[in-house]
Amino acid sequence: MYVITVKGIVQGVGFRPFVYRLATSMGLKGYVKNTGDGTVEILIDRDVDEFISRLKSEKPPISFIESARCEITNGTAETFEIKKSGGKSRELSLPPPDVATCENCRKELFEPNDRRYLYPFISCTDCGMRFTVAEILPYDRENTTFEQFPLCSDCEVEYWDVEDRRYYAQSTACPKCGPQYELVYGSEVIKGLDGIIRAAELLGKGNIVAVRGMGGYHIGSVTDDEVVLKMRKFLNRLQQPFAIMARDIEAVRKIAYVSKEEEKAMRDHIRPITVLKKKVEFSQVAPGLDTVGVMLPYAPVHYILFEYLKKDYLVMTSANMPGEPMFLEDPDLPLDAILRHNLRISNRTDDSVIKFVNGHKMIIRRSRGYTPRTIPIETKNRVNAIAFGAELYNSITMLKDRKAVMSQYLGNTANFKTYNEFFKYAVSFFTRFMNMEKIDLMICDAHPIYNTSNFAERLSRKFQTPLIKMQHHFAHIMSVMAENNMNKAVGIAVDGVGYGFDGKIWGCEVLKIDLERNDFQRVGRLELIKLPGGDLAVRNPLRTLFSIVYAEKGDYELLHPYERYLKDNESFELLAKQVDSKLAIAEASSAGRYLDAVSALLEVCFERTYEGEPAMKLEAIVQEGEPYYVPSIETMREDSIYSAPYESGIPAKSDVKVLRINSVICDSIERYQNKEEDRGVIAHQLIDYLANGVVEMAGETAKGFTDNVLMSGGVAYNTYFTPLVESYLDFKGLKLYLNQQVAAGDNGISLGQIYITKYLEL
Amino acid sequence: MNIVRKEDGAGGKYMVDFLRKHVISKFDSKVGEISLMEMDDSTDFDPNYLLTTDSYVVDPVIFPGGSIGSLAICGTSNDLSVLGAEPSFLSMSLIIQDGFPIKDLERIVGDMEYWVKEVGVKIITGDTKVVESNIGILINTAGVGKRNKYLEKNLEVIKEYRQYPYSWIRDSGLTEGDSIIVSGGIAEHGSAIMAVREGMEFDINVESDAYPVWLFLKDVLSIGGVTAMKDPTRGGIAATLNEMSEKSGVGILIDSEKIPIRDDVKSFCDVLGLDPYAIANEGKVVMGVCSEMAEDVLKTLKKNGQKNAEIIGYATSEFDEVVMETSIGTRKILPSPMADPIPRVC
Repeated sequence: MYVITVKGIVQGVGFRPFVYRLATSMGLKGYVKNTGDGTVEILIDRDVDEFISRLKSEKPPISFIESARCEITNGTAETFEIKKSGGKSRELSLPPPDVATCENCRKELFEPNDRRYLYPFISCTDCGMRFTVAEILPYDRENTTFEQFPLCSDCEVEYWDVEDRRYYAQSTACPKCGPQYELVYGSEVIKGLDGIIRAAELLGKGNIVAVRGMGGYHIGSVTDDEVVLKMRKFLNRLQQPFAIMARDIEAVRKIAYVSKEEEKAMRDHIRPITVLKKKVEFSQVAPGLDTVGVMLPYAPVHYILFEYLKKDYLVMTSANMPGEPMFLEDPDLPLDAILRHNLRISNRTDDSVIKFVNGHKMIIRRSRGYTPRTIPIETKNRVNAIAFGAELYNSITMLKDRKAVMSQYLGNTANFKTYNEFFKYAVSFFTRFMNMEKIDLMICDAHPIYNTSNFAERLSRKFQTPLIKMQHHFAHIMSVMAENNMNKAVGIAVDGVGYGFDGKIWGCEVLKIDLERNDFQRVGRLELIKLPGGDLAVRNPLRTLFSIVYAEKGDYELLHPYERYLKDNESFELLAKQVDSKLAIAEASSAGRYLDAVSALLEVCFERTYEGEPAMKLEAIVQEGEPYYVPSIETMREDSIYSAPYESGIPAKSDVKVLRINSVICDSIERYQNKEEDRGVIAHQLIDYLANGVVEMAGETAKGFTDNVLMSGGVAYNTYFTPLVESYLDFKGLKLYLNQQVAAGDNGISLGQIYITKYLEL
Repeated sequence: MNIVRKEDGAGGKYMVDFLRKHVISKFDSKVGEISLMEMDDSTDFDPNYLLTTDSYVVDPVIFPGGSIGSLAICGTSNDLSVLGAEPSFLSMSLIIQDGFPIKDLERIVGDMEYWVKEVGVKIITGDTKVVESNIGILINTAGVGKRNKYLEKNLEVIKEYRQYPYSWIRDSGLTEGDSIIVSGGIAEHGSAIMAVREGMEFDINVESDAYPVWLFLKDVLSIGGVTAMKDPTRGGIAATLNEMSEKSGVGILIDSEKIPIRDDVKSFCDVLGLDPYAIANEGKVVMGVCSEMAEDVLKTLKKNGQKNAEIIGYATSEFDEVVMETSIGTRKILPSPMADPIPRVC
């Protein structure tokens, strides 16, 4: 007999019935069963090569086979059977991510004779809730929140029928035995389908309704300005864009430009929010932007809502207060109605967000549909590690059995509720879920006052586990290296804020990384900007612009036209004094701050109310043109060679290239104020300057070292910056690598942190 | 790190790490109840006596509301007072730059003389050096404080409500449920110093709050129930609250709306991007009080001239951190501060 152990996404995806059908069709004897560690164990008596080859080619659509290991064993079998789950834990394997309603289920949903006609929890082995309902492994119904809904006899029959497409579907349910929706509207409670129909009517009439779905609540409304504005007010979210759910892809095309790749991504089983170029203004949904985030329905309740709704679009934004995690129970907000269901959500999971940049699919928020997909890390030994990420847009990543598992999007851990209720919960959930009794290494960001870093410090002291505090931008680049299993790279890390080795703020770094030689170098950076008041300058980009002008000119005459944008009590004279006295000044070499300054310079944005707002609004006014400025790069001798990407040892000095920005900013102010050039063109020229400059620095470093240049960090989402970087690199014969499996922003940083385990002796 | 950095002496998180690593670990000694390692404001060397020492470095040395001389007396007295000891004896070391104006020295010594009388403490030994390095004037004072009837009463009152295993008022004395009181408007000393040093020309007319807290603590301790107390100097109330929370093993929830702060101090901080919770005070205390006694203690503070004293929050076992609820109802962690504002926003 042969025993085959199949690793990958093989539980909860209809893998065993598939194996059963395959084995019986080949006339094999033996069994198939799920093991406690998430693998599938198959025993067969012969034809092992053919069997494995068909296993791989005919597997169920959402399954993924990482490996199928075969050993010879003793024993006999009379038939082929599906055995009960069990066995000891050796290898890690996780349930698949949540899957959007499949085509078969969607058809049944609207089939009047079907017993699940218009039932909002219709699902099968190919689709439905997975990670959001999972509590422990193995992924069996009794280990999910569906456990509270025992199957009725009809469902039971399907569940045990190997030929049925709901055979062993853990999330199966029907109107008789499964969870139900109800609408709470004033003092009325309207149960079941009637509640959903009523919710659709209320939405259509301009009401704001919370809708509980797969991973939490959405707040829904029509896209009309006055309704959206009302929603903005009570959510205290005055500018940040909302996502739209559109009835179908045709409806999407009416409001936005959709490429073939974008359409494909929007329709796949992840159903992410996709950031698209607007055709319609949507001045309240996405104020001041040229893009809008759109998704297609992904849960049965969405399809039913649209069936009864006269409109093609709904605002569907995660129900949370700014910075806080999504509500798990009925939102405490002035809503007109709440459409809720009685299935407990084990893991709240936001909608994932993607954006195509120069044809590259980039993940902005990695959550529903992605979690808990694994990424292999080839560590020497089997180590258990946990990486706590950074602060904003956070995630954590666990390493077990040479697999990295990134949590769902956790959000802004500077917010206490997110930190205390979501981040801490995720740490305890994943360590329990993945059975990580022993942790060999913890990794956090080097920033001294991130809540996640302080948490990591406390935890490492408590368990006496070594803790590594990794530099932010090295972690960014290493997230791309992890995805590609690379050992050396030249990296361009472009973002807003990361704590540097020198105690300054980094954010536009050209890095050289050679993991095998323990060689970590900062070879290039942006000219330092003095930020008067630190974070205050981040919220208030004019302060950053001031500082650049003042550093270049020694006075602020150029800024006279901007005086009207000063805040209460602010004056340029005061800012000058603040800079001179070095009082509350943070120095930053940050691409984010450079773009903020450009945004203020061109009178686009003077107040940042959400992450990236000045730069995103800047993108909206860009007019493509010819390059105008040639990069001015100076060489400075400073600490720049490190033996590790975390605090350790004494750095060595070397030449560092510094991209000058002050003079181009000042020149641009004059050109803009003298109306020499359209502001959109100047915006493009200044973005081009940054792109050309970083490539110039990276290109020289890459010579004789590697042909691959990696880029990561939030600025990599910029629609104009990244294509320019790519074309400048291409011109030098270098290839650009961007993050593909995780976010380029801080949401992806925990993967880069975990990658260090590959090179440590643990 | 191969050099000492500014942050290592800033009173925040870095300083604690720095001291543990390079200094205190070499001398960790314990004579009575309190050990050096615990880094309380004073240490007992006898059941009835505490010892403390502090060095004063401030620029400018004379400022609105006082001088380095006021700080040298009030500051050292305060370090004794917050453990409940009566400031009794001081030593004084002056390190003066060659060429320092006698006029300024007289003003400084005058301030010392004034506060010595007010507090009722005696300077009984000293030392003076004149040096060439560019320091202006530096003062070190050491102080001895003694057990007294007010402290005894305070401890008695606490024990009416719960156990208290200490014989002085300790940083680690906080228990779940204790009210947190701050004795008056925060950030005044630090703001006054910065404003005058940098010539910030706008509407701030604040003076240093340099003051010996013993003068109002006597009555407070007679009412009793103070379980933990510190004077929020370097690192402001943020450092103080974090130190109390960490040493006591409880979280603290504070309401930002309740924290007393003058309007002009607040707008001064707002426009410069300074964090008022991290700015030094020289005549205030932050205390934990048995909740049963909190209102009485507050009344007593107000009666003793601390008109802006407020109950700003309470200790909790819900979480381990110092958490602040903001005016719009969101909560954030108030971290132990660093030397300079470090941006964390993307």
